[in-house]
Parts: sequence; C-alpha cells; structure tokens
Amino acid sequence: MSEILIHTENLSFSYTDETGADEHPALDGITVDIKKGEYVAVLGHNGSGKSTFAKLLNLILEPTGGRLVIDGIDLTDHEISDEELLRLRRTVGMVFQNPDNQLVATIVEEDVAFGPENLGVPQPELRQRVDDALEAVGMTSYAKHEPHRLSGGQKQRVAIAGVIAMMPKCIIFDESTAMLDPSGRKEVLDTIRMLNREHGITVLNITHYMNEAAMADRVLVINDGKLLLDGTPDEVFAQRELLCEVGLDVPQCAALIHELRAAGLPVKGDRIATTEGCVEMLAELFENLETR
Amino acid sequence: MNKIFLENVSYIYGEGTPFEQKALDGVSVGIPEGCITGIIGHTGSGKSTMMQLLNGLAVPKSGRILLDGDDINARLEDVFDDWRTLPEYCELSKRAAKKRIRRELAERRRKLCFRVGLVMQYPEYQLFEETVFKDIAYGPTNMGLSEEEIRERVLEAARFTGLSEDLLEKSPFDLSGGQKRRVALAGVIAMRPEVLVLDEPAAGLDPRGRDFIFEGIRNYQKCAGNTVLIVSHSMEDMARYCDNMIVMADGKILAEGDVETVFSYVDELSTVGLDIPQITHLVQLLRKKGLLLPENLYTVESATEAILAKYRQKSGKGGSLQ
Repeated sequence: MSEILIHTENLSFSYTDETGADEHPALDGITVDIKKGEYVAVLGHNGSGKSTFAKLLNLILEPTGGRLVIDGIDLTDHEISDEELLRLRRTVGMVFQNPDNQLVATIVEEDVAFGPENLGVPQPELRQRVDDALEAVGMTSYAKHEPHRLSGGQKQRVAIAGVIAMMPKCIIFDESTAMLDPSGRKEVLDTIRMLNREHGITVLNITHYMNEAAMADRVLVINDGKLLLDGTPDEVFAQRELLCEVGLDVPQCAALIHELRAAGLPVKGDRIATTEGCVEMLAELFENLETR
Repeated sequence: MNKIFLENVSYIYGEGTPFEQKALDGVSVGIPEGCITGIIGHTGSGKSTMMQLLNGLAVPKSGRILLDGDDINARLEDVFDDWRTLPEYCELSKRAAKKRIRRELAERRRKLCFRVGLVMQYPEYQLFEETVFKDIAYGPTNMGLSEEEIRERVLEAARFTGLSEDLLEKSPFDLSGGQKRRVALAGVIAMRPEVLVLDEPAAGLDPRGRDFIFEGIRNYQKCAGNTVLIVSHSMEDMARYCDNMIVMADGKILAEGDVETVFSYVDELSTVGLDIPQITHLVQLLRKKGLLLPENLYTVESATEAILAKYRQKSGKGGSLQ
C-alpha cells in the first residue's frame, strides 16, 4: 500500500504568451509523493495552479522544470516515447468539470467504450470492461440510454465509467462536482469514495468545496503555484487564518470550533474537519463540565 | 408588499409528447419588494422555469404573473374591458382604443426585460464585446439612453461589482473567471432593473470569489433598495445572504417565509434531497446527545453565540444535562 504512485520534485510549469517573451509561472517547485490507494484532495483558489498540477500529472501539459515520476517512469529525464505516453495516460485518468463536454457517443455504453476501444482493447474483453465499469458506478440499467437525457450526476458517473473502463491506477477529478446539485454531488462523491475504498484506485479530487476536502485522507493546499499545506483534513483545517489569507475557507463545523476557542472555551481535541468529530468534541466539553 | 406575485401558475414542457413534464404545477407565491429572496430546490424542481417566466422568456400554460399588480403576459382581450373605462381610452373609438392598447402592451413587454434583469448560470460565457466597458454598456445602450447616462450607469455597476476602472478598457477575455462573472453581473445591474434575478451566481467560484459576488449583490440591493431573487443550491449561502426563502419540489412550493421559518422544516428539506447547512446538522446531533440548544441555528455566528451562552449558563450553576 505504501508504494509511491506519483513522485514530484520541484515540479514547475510556466505559461508563455504568444510572443514567447512573457513567462508566467503557474506552478513553482512542487515536491510531493502520492502513494497508491491514497484519497487526496487538492485545494486552492482560482488561478492558484491546482488545475495546472492536474494537467501535468496526466501529461496534457509538459513540465518546464523539476522532476515528475509516475508509476516508476521518470517523465523528465528523457524524451517520452509514444508507447510510454499511452501507458501513462492509461495510468492516470481524468474527469472534468462540465458533464456535457465529456460525453461523445449517443448511447451510454458506447460512450464508456470510447476510451478502451481507442486503447485497442479487443472483444470480448471490451464488452466485459464496459459492463464492469457501468456496474461500478451504478449505471448498468442506463446502458442503452441517450446520455443527453441523463441528470448531471448521472452524466458525471458515465464519464467516470469511461475512465474506469481504461483501468487507471489513479483518477483525477478536476472540480467534477462544481456544476452539480446536492444530490448529484452526493452521487459522484459516493462513487469516488467507493472506487477508492473498494477498487483501490488512487484519487486526486480538486475542489472548491471544503466539505469535500474533509472526506479525503489527505489535503494539499496550493497557493501561487507553491505547496502551502499538506496534511490530514484535521491538520489542514486547523490553519484557519492561513487558509482565509489565501482566499480559502474551512468547513462550518471547523469554523465553529475556531470561534468557540477564540471566545475562550476550552474545546479539546483536533477532529475539526468533520461534523461527527466536532460533535464529539463539543459533547465532551459539556460532559467535563458536568463531572467537574 | 409583493413586488411579484405568481397566481396559480402552471408550465408544461413538451406537452403532448412522450416527454411531457409538468415543471410548475399550480404555483401561487409572492416575491416581497425590497429584499433578497432565495429560491432553492433540487434539479428539476421547477426553479429555473420560474425564473424564465418572471421576465417573459417563457409564458405560463395557465395562471398569471403580476409585476406591481399588472399581468406581464396580458393580452388585448384580457385587459380591453377594464382599460376601456380609463380616461385615456374612453373617448376613443373601439378600434382606435384597441390599437392603442395593443401598442401599449407591446411596449410593456419590451420594457419587461429591462425591469426584470436576468443573470443566467455561467453568465461569463455570454460576454462578447471588445472591452469590459462596452460589454457592460450593451444593456443600457439597447434601452436607448444618452451616452452620458450610459457612462454613469456603467461606472456605477462596475463599482457595485468591485471592478476597478483600469479593467474597463481591457478585453473581457483577458480577465480571470471571477472577474468575468462580475462583468456579466455588472451588465445586468447597469440596466437598473427593479427586480434582479440570479441563477446560481457563485457556481464554480472559489470561497473568496463566492463572498465577493454575494457581497456585491447585497451592497447593490441595499443601495438601490430593489428586489433581488437568487436561485442557489447552497443552503449555507442562502442562510447568510437572504431575507426570505422559497423552497420548491416537484413543481410546487414546499415552504416559504423568512430564513428561520424555512429552516425549521429541516426534515421535509432532507426528504426532497436538499442539504441543510452543516452547522444546523451539527446542532441537531448535539441536541440528540441531550444538549438543549435552540433549534433555529443556521449560521456559524448564531451557533457560536448559543453554545457560548449554554456553556456560561452550565458552568455558572452546574446542574444536570437538561
């Protein structure tokens, strides 16, 4: 389990304008190790570099500096062959923000087959993969439906199935819940958690929702292209002032604990990222008061 | 006082086809004047349909929508008998009166989209002009205002939305996502609509961007004193920024009233797939554990105060968990 899937060292990327003169660093020296099977949330305000980070891991963009090793292949010490590129794209799948921009076929199962078919997966394995992927996201009964008649949450689950059918080791979700309503968001988040827990898929969830980040094992906070914080949700959300400074926030439950402490209440414990943790801490506070 | 009143309004999509769907089903509800009203409901609950009805983009299948008491979709035959008795029409021949009334109704319809300004979801995709200034000026220009008046309104709208003046001569496509969103909002505010309707104004923005947009909307509402309607999924934001709320489910009104009243229907909200604010959920769990906090806590501030008060009360005189 502790095997490292993604290793970056001083990873950097700069955008250049059309004249090539004006360099704008988007990512500036990120060093991080992501283990196989981890569920990592990535936070950062708009323009912080978190999407650039994701695009580098899927080789949509090529690093302009530093080292990047994915699944044992160093992508920065040599020209990458087409074969390696294909293998890497298969290793790291990506689900984007807008469900309407990712579906290509007119029938759900054909859409899911699009990826693996392009990888050259032969029949009957292709059939099997598509069926398995649809089952994994709970969309089997929609296999013959038209994608454009599905709800946003269902569309995203089809998009996820399309990625799963390529059997990636890691899936990056780039604000995949941003355009969904609460029930659609829950569908997708439940699916993400299940893929991580039951199928052992490494998950990187880039999000603006602090409550989503609280569900991860680990939270990375990126600001101005640099890694600002790296820790468990409890550790990261303990840094409320720092997060607010960089335009982020903490979940409401964590904000409550911070406020109570600021007002002088001796709330003990550090499980501030989740509602359950906060409830326990507060219940304990009042119990201690009783027995005093 | 209601600025808008929906009277038994129904709307059906794809009527007579196999995909027929009732989007609004006999809805009667008032939108109070001079405050911020939030509309919440899951996807397909009818809230977006309702928005489109308000400025005439869609016409109800049955029922009426009253803006300041006037039916916005009134036809000649609906109003003729009433209006004929008015001094301006009573002396005309029947034919001339009909002609005048028809023209008046058409003029009202044209002005409706200036009176009720709609900010769609992801409005930044609708920017198209060469400069930010021109884009914001598009609405006022179509209203036929003078150049001076247009300039004044553009600058005012830019101020409300926190766009600095040096941005005005830039191309809107060179701005960040959050800035583009604010340009689109300014374009509608510049028409000084009596009713400003926003569909998910903060979708896809980071926390600071969200606060910026909502603060801008609230400032504008306070200064202009007009009516604002916000459609959103975020209960946290609604609790923070709205005076009133309307909850929709399956094309009907599930609950309406001030924020406190609406959040007291917590169980009903959960059954239609809506989230309650996390803080309200936390307070519920504490209550289940026997800590008697007030039920109506839906912001971090109010929960902090209530828990502090409880703690002081208990540490003061001890006593049992009740």
